[in-house]
Amino acid sequence: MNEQHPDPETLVRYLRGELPAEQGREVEKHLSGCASCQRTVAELAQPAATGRESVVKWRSHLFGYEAAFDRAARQASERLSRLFEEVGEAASLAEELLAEPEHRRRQLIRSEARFQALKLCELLEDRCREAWFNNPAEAVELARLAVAIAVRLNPEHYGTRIVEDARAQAWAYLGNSYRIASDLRRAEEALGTAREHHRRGDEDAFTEAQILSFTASLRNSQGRYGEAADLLDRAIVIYRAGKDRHQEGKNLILKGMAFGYDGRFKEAVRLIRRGLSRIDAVEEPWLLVSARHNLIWYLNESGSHQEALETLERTRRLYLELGRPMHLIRLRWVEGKIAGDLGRFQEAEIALREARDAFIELGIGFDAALVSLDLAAFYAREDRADEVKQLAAEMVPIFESRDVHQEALAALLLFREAAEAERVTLGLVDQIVAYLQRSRLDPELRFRES
Amino acid sequence: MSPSNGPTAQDLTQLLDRLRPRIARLFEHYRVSEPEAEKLVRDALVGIAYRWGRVQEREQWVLDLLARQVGKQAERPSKEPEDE
Repeated sequence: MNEQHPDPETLVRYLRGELPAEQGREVEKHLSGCASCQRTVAELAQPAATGRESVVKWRSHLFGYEAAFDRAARQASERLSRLFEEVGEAASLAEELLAEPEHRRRQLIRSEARFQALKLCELLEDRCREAWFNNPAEAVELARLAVAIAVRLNPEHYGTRIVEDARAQAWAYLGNSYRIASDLRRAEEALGTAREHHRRGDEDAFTEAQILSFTASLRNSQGRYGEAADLLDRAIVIYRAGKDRHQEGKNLILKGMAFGYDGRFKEAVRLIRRGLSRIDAVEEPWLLVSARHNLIWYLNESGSHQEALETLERTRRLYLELGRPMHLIRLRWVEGKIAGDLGRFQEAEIALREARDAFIELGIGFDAALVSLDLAAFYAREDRADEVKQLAAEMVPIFESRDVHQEALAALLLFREAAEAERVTLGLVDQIVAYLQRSRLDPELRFRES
Repeated sequence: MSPSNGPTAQDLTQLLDRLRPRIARLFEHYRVSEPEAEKLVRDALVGIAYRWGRVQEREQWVLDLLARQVGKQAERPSKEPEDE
């Protein structure tokens, strides 16, 4: 069957014998293999003698729709102008709302209709997305405000499907914010609510792709990497069909990271490269830096140390020009790892210590602990037991006062005991690193030495 | 969406004009009533207006949405007359 069905007017002209010979043959060829168009033609051609009565009836129906279409276009245009008014007001409403203390913000949303606006809801989601990078608690608050607005949007004003879609999006943002803030249980619940609203709404494919992508990130945090990759595949198909190359690329990169977390470094490298070829750096410059950073990291982990170093050198300018302070610390970290793997020990030690100190200064205990363990692995490989001992002794008091939860601290205490007894092995360091990476987003996870 | 990256009323009209025959055929197939057709098309146009910046294949988006909606409606069982 041909992929392109003849439109109804062509079928009517075909029945009337008005089509040029070649076009008529094409329609006949299509009809020979298309049951749906055969049914349409059979219906149009009743009664069999002339087909005329039915054709006239059908055309009048079409003209009936024409009037309905005209009215629909007029109504949509009216709504469009109201929408533009909202766009203009959203920024000042957001400023007014966010200037209030938290409890008062909700009161305002509940009591004043002007805050129950879709564009304000979307603006808060934009702010929330920005806060994901450096302030997860603020991101949760912004997403909760977006949800508070979304649940109060008036379906009569916006239309039921738009409202349900807005609710799906707001809940999805809240779910992703909870995940980033390490509250995986609430993240799961919020994403479930998002799916429910999506089902009730117009099932917009892009909203679905966004929910899939956020859910995949949650699965990554839960260590369910295979499920994450499957969900991202579904999101990628949607973005590809919608010709959104940037989002397609972004989700390929996320899939690469899922493989990377799972230790499948070569596949991770392949997917991140494919993703990088599609993303628009102007749209999300940090994504470009993060993706290239992960590429370098996985190249190094897969044993391609020299290639990792060369890629890093080509990326250095991007880190400096587009990166955030955090990217520069991570640059030192990966530089230290590569240098260590290439046998440039002095260089590695300096870079890793700098990265560790910078993380400590920013109060990011988890990453500081991970860099310390990289440093410990490096000393252990070199049989420098005294340095391992000293490092372990320094670690515990520092992390006691940071964002490291009790279970992770217990693992670090175990590491200190092993260092004091001079029985730190690379295997033990690897186990603690793997545990810390997983327990970061699941604070109840316990370390078990195998 | 901002006014700069959203559609104008003319953009929506032109989009609809390109789609009229295909939407009419779809509605005819599912025997959609005129008032329902008006509501479905209006909501679809508002929907695409909201997503104007992020949807590249707008015609396809509108057609897919309408096909899903009329398909869903066709699946719903018709109401049986209630017993007196």
